[in-house]
Amino acid sequence: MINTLLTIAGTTYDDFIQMKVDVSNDEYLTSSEFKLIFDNPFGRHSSHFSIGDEVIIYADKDTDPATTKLFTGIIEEIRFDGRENSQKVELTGRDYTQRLMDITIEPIVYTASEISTIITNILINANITDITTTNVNVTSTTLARISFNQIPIYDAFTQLAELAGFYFYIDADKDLHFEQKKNISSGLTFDNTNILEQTFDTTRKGMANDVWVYGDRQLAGYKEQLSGDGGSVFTLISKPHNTFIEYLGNPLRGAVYQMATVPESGTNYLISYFDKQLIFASGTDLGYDSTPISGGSVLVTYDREIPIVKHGVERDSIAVYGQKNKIINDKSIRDPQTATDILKQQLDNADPYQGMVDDLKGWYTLLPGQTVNTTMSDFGLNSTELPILSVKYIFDKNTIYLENVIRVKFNKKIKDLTDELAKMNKRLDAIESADRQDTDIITRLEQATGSLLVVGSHWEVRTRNIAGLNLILDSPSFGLLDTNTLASGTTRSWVLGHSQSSILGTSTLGQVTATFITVASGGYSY
Amino acid sequence: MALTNYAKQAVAWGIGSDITNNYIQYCAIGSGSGAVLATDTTMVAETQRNTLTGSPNFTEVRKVGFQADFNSVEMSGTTLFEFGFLASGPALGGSIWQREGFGSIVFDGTSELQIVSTMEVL
Repeated sequence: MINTLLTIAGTTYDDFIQMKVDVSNDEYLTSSEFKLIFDNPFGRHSSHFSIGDEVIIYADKDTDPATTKLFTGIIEEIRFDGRENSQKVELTGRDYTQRLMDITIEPIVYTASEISTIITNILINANITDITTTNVNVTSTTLARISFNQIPIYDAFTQLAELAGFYFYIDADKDLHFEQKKNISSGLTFDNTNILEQTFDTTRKGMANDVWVYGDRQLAGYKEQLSGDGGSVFTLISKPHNTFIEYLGNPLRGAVYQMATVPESGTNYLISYFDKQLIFASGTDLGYDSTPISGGSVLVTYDREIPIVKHGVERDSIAVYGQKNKIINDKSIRDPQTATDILKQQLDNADPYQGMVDDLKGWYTLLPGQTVNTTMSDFGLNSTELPILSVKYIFDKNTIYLENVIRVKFNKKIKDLTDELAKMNKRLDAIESADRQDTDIITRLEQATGSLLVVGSHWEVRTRNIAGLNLILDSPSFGLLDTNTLASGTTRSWVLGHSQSSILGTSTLGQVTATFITVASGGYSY
Repeated sequence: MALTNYAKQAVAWGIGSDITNNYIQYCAIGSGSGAVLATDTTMVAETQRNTLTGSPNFTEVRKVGFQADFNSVEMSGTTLFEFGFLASGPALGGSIWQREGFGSIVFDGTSELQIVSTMEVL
């Protein structure tokens, strides 16, 4: 029998109807997550849970209570559902990978950096303190340059993992694992002795063997020396930006071709950008002719676009599976080396995707990223070292007794509609992030709430009687010598034993032995 | 306990600047019986003002304790209804930081007075 232990915000709960835990790594393109369903008769759990409460789930076979920690995460949604006499509350949330998904990276550029150092630096810069980096392994990849412009940390880590041939996930102890693919074997073999149900899918979906990577476009200065030939139209080598024309050493005034039927007076030349043409103005309506004389020197200075574009082809894959293009448009790519790195990584996916889903009998300790061997001769399947993408646990009263709580997904994730939506979202992000620069000056507004409350915690009014040991000048009670009063007036006091009013030199004369008695008090008790 | 608005303003000033003598150094007593309000800036009827006895007590975190003593001559003939703490020394001058009122206590010249107050910052 499978035993579980569930704690939420430090309190143990054992009355859940169903508990689903999905532990996965980045190759599954999602975070680990959980879903808990409780019965809620008469509002039993009406005030037990809050958004942000930490959820810890343990599970073991034949150990009660369970001690193996499967999952640590945070409640992100609480949903009550009631109908007639039935009430339920459903809790859902993700593991600490949600920190990586919820927080974006402020614009930054890393140059000549080894990938694991980029990973740790991103976490430090984002001030994420509840995720440790003990298992961030050093890679053999040093990137010449990579930039991130306000994209989620998760997307950045996914990109870095792909470039390094690594995968990552956050374990139940909130430690980030950034490890080499297929590096850790579980030593397990799944076959018809322990597989209850299997789906084995091979598909062209997601693969690409002809890849284009479009990065940013840079402007670079260029100069052409032309010589007049009697004509008014000159064709330039490139499409010109920021054109500056000198004729016989004198700068000329320019305009845009076809902007007006007759150019503004004083215009010497027109630029037809897409035709790469420099057209000198002349004509009856204009009233003058700017065409260079034959042999006249025309110096054209302009900026030309140099695009960062890389194209890669996997010929063997095309021969077997047919051509399948993939276009990547990412304006944040601003150097050829980064474009090349991304191109190579994309061409690693030039073969059809194989995805497997196994429902297992029994209890196994499995971690995403570990490899397993699997054999199913009826499906023509005999594979070794298949990486685990995701391990799903479904705990309810039936599965824990029957020991069929585990569903494992292997190898490659078959792309579905949600992946396409995520991909579209990433493309939009890439387009929108083009103008975000690490050198931008940012005006920041930070709001927070603090408090400082000064409370008068306690006060006392105390009195004490001075009878018995006193000689007070001018006092009708204590200033008498026989029947006469010594001294007079209100400012001349001399009181035996008083700390301030009985000083002779630096010594106190006499002593008051009575103690103060509180006659009034107030404020808060503390 | 009535910590006055002026006291709160003084705390705000204290957080942001270094203001000479802008801290509690004196205790005033009086015979006025008016209601204690946070808007009070003076005692209702001040009769005596003394410097604090010793230094403020900071031995407990986030707390400051004050003590003031008045001898029997100073108190003689006073019907005490109120006390307050201030930063300034001249009689009837300055704004009070704290004022408390209570039932009357009559002094006939045979008793001394001691006032102890602790303020806590939360």
